[in-house]
Amino acid sequence: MTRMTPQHYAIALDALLAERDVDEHTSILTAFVNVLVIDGMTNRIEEILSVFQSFCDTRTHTVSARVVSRTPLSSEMRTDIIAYVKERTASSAVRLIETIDHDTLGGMRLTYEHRILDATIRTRLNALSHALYA
Amino acid sequence: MSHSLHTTDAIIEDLKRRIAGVSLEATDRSIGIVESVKDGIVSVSGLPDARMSEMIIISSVNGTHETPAMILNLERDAIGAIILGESIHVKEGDLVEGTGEVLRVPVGDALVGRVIDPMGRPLDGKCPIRHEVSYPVEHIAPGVIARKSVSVPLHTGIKAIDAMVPIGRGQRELIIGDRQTGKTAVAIDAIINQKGKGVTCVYVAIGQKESKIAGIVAKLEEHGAMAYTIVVLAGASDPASLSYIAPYAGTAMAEYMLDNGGDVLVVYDDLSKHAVAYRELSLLLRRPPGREAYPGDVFYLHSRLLERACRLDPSHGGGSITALPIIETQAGDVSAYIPTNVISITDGQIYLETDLFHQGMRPAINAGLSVSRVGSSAQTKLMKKVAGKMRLEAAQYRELAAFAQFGSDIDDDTRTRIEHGKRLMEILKQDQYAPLADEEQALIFFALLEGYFSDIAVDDVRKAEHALLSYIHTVDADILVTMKKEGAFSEHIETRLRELLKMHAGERLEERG
Repeated sequence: MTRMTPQHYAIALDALLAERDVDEHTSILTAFVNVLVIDGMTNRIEEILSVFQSFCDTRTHTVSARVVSRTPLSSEMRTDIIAYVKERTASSAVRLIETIDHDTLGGMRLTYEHRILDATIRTRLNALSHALYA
Repeated sequence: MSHSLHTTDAIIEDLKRRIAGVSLEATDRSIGIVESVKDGIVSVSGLPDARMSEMIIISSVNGTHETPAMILNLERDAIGAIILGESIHVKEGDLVEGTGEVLRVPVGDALVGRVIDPMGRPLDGKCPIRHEVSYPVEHIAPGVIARKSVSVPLHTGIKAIDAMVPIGRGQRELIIGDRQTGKTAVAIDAIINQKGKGVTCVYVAIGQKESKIAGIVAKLEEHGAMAYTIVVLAGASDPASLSYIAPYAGTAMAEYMLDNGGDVLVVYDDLSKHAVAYRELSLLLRRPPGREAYPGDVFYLHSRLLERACRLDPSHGGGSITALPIIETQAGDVSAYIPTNVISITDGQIYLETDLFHQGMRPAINAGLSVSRVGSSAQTKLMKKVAGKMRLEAAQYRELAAFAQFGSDIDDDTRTRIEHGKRLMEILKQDQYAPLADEEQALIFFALLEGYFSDIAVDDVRKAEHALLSYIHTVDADILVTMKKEGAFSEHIETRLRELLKMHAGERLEERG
C-alpha cells in the first residue's frame, strides 16, 4: 500500500471541503482530525496545514512572504514589503510571516514564492569573509 | 625592518583590494526548494531561471552544509539534478540556489602530482589545492580549422604498439579487451614512458577499486611519473554522479594544458563503467531506456568527450590531447553496444585477447585485429623503416601459423618464415614497467630483420634481446644517441649496427662453445 504523505492528506481535505456546504465543514474537520489520530499523523499536522494553505492561496491569488529580521517590523515597513511583493507577484493579497532571528545582526531577509531578497548584515559579512579568505 | 614594512604594506593593499571587490548590496535571487531526494537524485521546485547542466548549490536549512548538484532534467513542474557528492546532508525543504554557470573544475599546474576527485578536491591527504583558474567540464571541441593532422608520435615504449599500432599526439586510440588482459598495464606503461618528453598525463579512474588505484599511484611514484601526472578518481564506492563527470573533468584539466600549448595524454579507465554510471543516472531520472537499458544519447556521451582530443594548429596554440579510452568487453564480444560505439568514434583500437595472455604473450595484443588509423604518419623514419617490414612478416606468420601444427608437409621457405615469425612474436613480448626508447626498439627490430635471432632458440630470444641491448649500451652507447638525433637509418648507422651485431654474435658463439 502506498504510504500517504502530508500532501495526500491536504489534497483530500481540500477536495472534501470544496465538495460540501459550509455548514458541513465542522463535521468534516472533526472527522479529518480523527483520521490523523488513527493514522498516527498528528505530528505532521503543520506540514499538512502548510500544503493546504498553499492550495487556498493559489485559489485566492495570495502569496506568502516570510520576513526574517533582528527586530520587529514597523507598520510602515510592513506596508512597504507587502506593496513590494504584490508588485512583483501580481497577487491580490500577501500573507506576511515575521520571524525574529538575532543571528541576522541587522537588516532583513524576505522570501516569497521562489525568490529571496537578502539584505541581512550576516550575509554581507559572510561575503566579506569569503572574499578575504579566498 | 623595511622588508617587514614592505610585506605589511603588501598585505594591507591586498586586503583593501579584496574588500573593494566585495559587493555589499542586498542580493535578490531566485531559489528552489528540495521536494524529494533519493538515490543521489534531487527533485527541486522553483528556480525559474534554471538552465540545463547548470550547477546548483543545496543549502541545509540551518546553513551548515552546502552540497553541489548539477541539473540534468528540466520538467514543467520540477527540476531533476544529480548530487555531486554525498547526499547525506540533503533533505526535503532545503534551499537551492543556481550559480548561473555550468559545472566548473579547478585546473592548473597545482593539480599535477596530485590525486583528486572529479570536483578537484584532493584525495591524497596532502595540502589543499590552491587554484586561480577553473574550466567548464562541458566544452565544445575545437573546430576543423583549428586542428592539424596527427604527425608527431606519442611513444608508449611498448614494442608491439609503437611498431604495429603506432599512436600519434592528438589521436584517440581505444584499448579494448576482456577483464584481466592488461589494458590498464598498457596505459600505465604509456604514462611511464612520457618521462622527460614534455607530455603531461591525466589518468581518469572511473568506478575502479581504490586499492587498485593506490597500487597504480605507488607504481607511478616509483617510476617518477607522478611528477607529470594528475590522477582523477571516482572510485567504486563513490556516487554515480562523480563517475559520470570524471572523464569530462579530466578532459577539462587537460584542456588547460592544451590552451597553454602543451601536449597531454589522457587515459579513461574505463568508459564501460562510465556508460553504466550514466545509465544508472538516466534510469533514476526516469529517462526512457533504449537498447540494453542505456539512454538514447549514450553514443553522444562518449563522442562529445573523445572529440575534445585533438592536435591544434600552431596558430591556435599547437598543443595536443591524446586520448587512450579503455573499454572492457565480456567474453571477447567487440560487437556489443558500447564497444562498437567507442570503436566507431576512435582512430583505432588495441585489442587485447585473453587467449594470448594465457599463452604468455604479454602484452596480449592481437596485431591482426588492432588498428591505428593514423598509421605510419605517427612514426619516426627510424621506426617506419623497420616496422613496415615487420607488420608484413607478422601478417604472413599469422596466416602460416596454422601450418605450424602440421610441421611435416611444409617447404623450407615456409618453415623459415614460421621460425622467423615465432622469433618476431617473442620479440614483441615485453615486461611490464619496462618501456623502451624509440631507438632501442628500432635497434631490436633491425637486428631481427637482419637475422640476428635466427640461430637462437625461441625460448632464449628475450634473454638474447636484453643481452644485445646491454652490449650496445656498454660498447657503443653513442650509436643510440646518433640514431635518436638523426631520426633515420643512414648508411653509416646501418653499417655500424651490422658490425656491432656481428661482434656480439661472435662473442655469443664463443661463450657457447
